[in-house]
Amino acid sequence: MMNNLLDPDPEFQELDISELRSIMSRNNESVLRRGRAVMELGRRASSDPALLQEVSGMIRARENRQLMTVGTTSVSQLGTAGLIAGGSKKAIDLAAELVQEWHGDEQSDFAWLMKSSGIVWPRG
Amino acid sequence: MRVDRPDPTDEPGDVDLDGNARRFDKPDTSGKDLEWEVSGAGRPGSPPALPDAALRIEQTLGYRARVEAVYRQYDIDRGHNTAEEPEREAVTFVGRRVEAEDRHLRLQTARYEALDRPPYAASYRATVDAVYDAHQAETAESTVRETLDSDFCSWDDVVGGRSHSSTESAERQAYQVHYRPLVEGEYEDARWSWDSGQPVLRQPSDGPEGKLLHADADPLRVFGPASETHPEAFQEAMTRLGEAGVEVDLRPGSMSYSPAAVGGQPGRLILDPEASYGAVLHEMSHFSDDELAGFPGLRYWLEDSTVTAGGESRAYQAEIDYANSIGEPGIADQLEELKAQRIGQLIGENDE
Repeated sequence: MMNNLLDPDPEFQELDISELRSIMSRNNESVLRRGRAVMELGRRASSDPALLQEVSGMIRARENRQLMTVGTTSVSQLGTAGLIAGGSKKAIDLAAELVQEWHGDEQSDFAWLMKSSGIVWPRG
Repeated sequence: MRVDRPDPTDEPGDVDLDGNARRFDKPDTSGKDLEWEVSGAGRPGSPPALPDAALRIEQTLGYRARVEAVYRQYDIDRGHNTAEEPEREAVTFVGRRVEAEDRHLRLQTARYEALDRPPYAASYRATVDAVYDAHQAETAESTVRETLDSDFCSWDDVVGGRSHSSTESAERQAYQVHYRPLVEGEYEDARWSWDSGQPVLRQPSDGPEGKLLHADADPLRVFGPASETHPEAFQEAMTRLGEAGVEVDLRPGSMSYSPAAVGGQPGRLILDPEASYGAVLHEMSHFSDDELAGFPGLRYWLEDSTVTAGGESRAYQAEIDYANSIGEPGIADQLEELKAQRIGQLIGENDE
């Protein structure tokens, strides 16, 4: 089985939510770790309405949309991918709403990211 | 990685979720309403066979036409006046008719004059003329090739540090005298600060996490796009990407190689049609790293910041080496600064 971005992240699965929040709050944290943290938060928010609201704020944050991890994948895009990976309808609907707020290029990049992970996006 | 990510505040991005948000009517299936693709098929196939001379001209012009289409679409996407002709070089096909107006005409002319290479100018003209008559294409292409071989190869010898003739030294001096002021003018256009010696972001940065805008992150673009300054190397790169199955998307203002989300698949290259040769070297370095690692997928590059930072360092170094090779230590210094900023982002101060 090939490594898929949407698969669980074993290292970050071991962190509790406060640790993940802490990673997200540190300005000088590695952008890669921030991306993984918000993705894990997104995954967990899928079944946690309160956390869902918090994660949507992180995804909307200007700096997270601008902050690139690898290639065109921003921290916000990884958070959104986490929502989708979580799998609940609420989380996926929120992901769709958040993506709609983005620039065309961001939407296109996210659609490609989803496509390359095997998901048809946007949903038909 | 280098991306010109538009500022979210510049767009009507603050969507009223109640009024404008996208809604779905599908029933709650706990995420099962997502469609999963059966495979990663759909990658572009192998590139066309090695073109003959006429076909090569066609490809070049076709590329330029695609570039124009991308710019046009880019303007449309951003609500710019779609009726206006782009200011940059316009190449449109109407039968065999081609209208070409180089927006960097001043630079091009100065380049020819400074380098004292009328044969190149003549061959360039011949290329344009050739499109009026398909029967002249092969002859014109040969002329271009011969001139390019004797022209830029010798120039490469100069900038590559190899021994050079007094004629070449004179060309270099002419370059310094005539071309440099125009390059500096371009720097002003690109909002580079000669006072601070630092790139000036077109939009203010909020802090150390500020984005790196492409025009600032590609200082070598003042010398022209890679497709024109290094057409053969550029074509080789595109061929290599095509053979590997990499998607190549033209997008003004962005330059980036993104690994696929799933291991075992090649990624995607976002290519600014105006990207410099240095920028192409940079992104090809990222592609090479991904290919060498066996296309391990995005997760791999997210998990080890040291590995990813190493790749970024190599990519910038390719640009820096090129800048130094053409006698542009100032640009090399700027790239060093950008490299340090990017690696700082990747590693972070709290990284374990």
